[in-house]
Amino acid sequence: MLSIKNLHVSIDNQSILNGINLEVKPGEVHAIMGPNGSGKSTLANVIAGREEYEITAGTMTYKGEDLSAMDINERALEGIFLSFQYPVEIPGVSTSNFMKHIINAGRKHKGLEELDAMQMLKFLREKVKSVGMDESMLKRSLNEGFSGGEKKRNEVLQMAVLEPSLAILDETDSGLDIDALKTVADGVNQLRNLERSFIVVTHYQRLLNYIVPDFVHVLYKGRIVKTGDRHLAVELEAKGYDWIKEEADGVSA
Amino acid sequence: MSTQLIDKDLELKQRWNILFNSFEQSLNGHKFTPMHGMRQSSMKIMEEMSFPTLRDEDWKYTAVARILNNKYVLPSRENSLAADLVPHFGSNLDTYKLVFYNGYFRKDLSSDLPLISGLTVCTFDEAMNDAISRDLIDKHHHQWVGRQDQIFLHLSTSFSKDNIFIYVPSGVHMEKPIHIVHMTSATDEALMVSPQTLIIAERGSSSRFIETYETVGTDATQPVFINALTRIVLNENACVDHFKVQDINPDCFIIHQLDTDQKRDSRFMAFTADLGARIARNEVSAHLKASNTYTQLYGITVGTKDQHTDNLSFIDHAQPRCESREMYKAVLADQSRGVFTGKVMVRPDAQKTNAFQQNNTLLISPKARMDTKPQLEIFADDVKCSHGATIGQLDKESLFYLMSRGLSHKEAASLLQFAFVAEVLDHLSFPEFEQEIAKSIHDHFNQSGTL
Repeated sequence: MLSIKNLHVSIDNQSILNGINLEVKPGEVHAIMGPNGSGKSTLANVIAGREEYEITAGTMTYKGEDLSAMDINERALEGIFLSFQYPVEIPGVSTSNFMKHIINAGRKHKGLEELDAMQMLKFLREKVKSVGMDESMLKRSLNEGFSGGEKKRNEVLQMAVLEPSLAILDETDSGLDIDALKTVADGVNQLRNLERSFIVVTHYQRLLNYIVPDFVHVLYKGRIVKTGDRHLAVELEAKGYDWIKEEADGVSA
Repeated sequence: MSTQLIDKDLELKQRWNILFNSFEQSLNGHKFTPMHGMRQSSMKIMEEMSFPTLRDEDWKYTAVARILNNKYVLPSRENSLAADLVPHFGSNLDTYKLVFYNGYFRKDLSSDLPLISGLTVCTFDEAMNDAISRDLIDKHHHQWVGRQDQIFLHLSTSFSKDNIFIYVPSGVHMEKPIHIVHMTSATDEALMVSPQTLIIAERGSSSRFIETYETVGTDATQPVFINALTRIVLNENACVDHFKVQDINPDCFIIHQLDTDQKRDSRFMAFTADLGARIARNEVSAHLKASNTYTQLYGITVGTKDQHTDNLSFIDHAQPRCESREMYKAVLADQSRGVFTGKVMVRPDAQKTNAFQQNNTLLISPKARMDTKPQLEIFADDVKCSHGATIGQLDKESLFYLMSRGLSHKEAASLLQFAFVAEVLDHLSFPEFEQEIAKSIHDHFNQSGTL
């Protein structure tokens, strides 16, 4: 699905990622953990195509294609979805209008007919219900004045609507209370299947109690310094990141 | 003025004089009407004035030479007879249509008017047969024009032909709007059209007007210059909404003056959408002549290619407890330019004034340009006044967010741009019109290279 080899990325000439290697196969859930500033979000955003980042070395292939040659929207249309750490507020664009646009863009790409107004409404209502949101949110401007939990649920709603092949959750759990966290995790778990892969970027282990990963990678100073299974996350929660840092700094020193 | 400029000015005036003389001859028997007296007096006033240059504060960013350098002719009644004319904008809207083509009233294409007792809709010439209408026109148009000092107003008056007079009687609520459609076609010669409208809204009446300017047929290469006046008098407690849509060819020019007098407790709303024209200049003046009036001025500009759109507004708070709100937004792409001047005068008697003004612009291309100038003069001390001007670009975060959901850059940008201007539409309380104008705005977003 996704193959990242020796990826180096910098922003404003400051090196953030220093040789990432990551293989994600269909149906796998990979957790990326690590201390603040380790490059977790950068990795998530680079895969989605954020333009400020410069790839200085390495390759990213997605479904056999060179990812760096694809536009942001092309990646989305080909099935990459990034759930934003800070979803953007867009005043003046209603959530339903936005949904209508992204759903039809996706359908057009797949050679399907656009949904008419009635079909769209029916489809959206079902999806909104499935992530435990109130229908009234469709009338509100996209993310404007949404609570932290509402914003994250809205991200999951978009994911449910777009049905991506590779979903990247960038700190989807940060700032959520336990109820919101459960709803978000439920939304994600409903979408899990043998074909769909996930990269779950998180600072805390908490989310991984609900979204159980196949692999846990620890990112530090722009490198993956440790890979394990779900037990690694539990260990990190108990012991913190210091022992990883010491281990990594010791090796590189 | 340098000698060169004076020469230029003289040459221009001579040109207008020659045009005026031939116009006079064509009038054939209508030379001695009050209407023609007014034309002659405007022509005379014009002789004492000169055309503005960039040195005039109100024209600092808009050069008129490009407009004036053409040798204009006036459209003849013969070349205003085209048959299959369908207005592009608002043909689906349920309105009474008054259709003008090349400045001539086309009764055959216009709607039958509602049977409302006292409602008058006719040309100035027709109105002369009725003493009350004649007096109203004399007072609120002829005499008023005589007191004005804008040279383009006098130019317009000198060459005006089928001016329209609308009288909404006291207490009448007009459900359907009146849609004044101005269509023009370019010809092999540069054409000047000078439409004028006078609306009297009587005490307690409420009415809505749509005024559209569009060019039909695009083959001819010579420009059209529309130099228009709309004057609206609101009597006590009257309510008037005026919606203007300007969508003329990008090689044409339009100068439009909208002037309104507001009596006590009256409410006036004006919206202008400027989508076309090489140079468009709007002057809106609201004279708040008694207390407790409410004035709202709204504008949307979509600039593409070489378009230049200049909005000047003047709100004269002369009496206490009046409120005015202004919101003008522009999306400028390519090499287009925008200008906004927002004058608000709060005179010493105008205590308890509320005056709010806002002008926001999105520059879509590095070559687009906006000049904005709020100009508040406040001589009363118990007032609430504010103004705000912003000039920005599309938010990169928002673009990335939308594109990461599969929208192309163009789709994402268009969605954001529309959201930006849509805030203005939220104030219009006219959903059918909002839908139509939204379509036109989207069409124009799609016309530019950079939007």
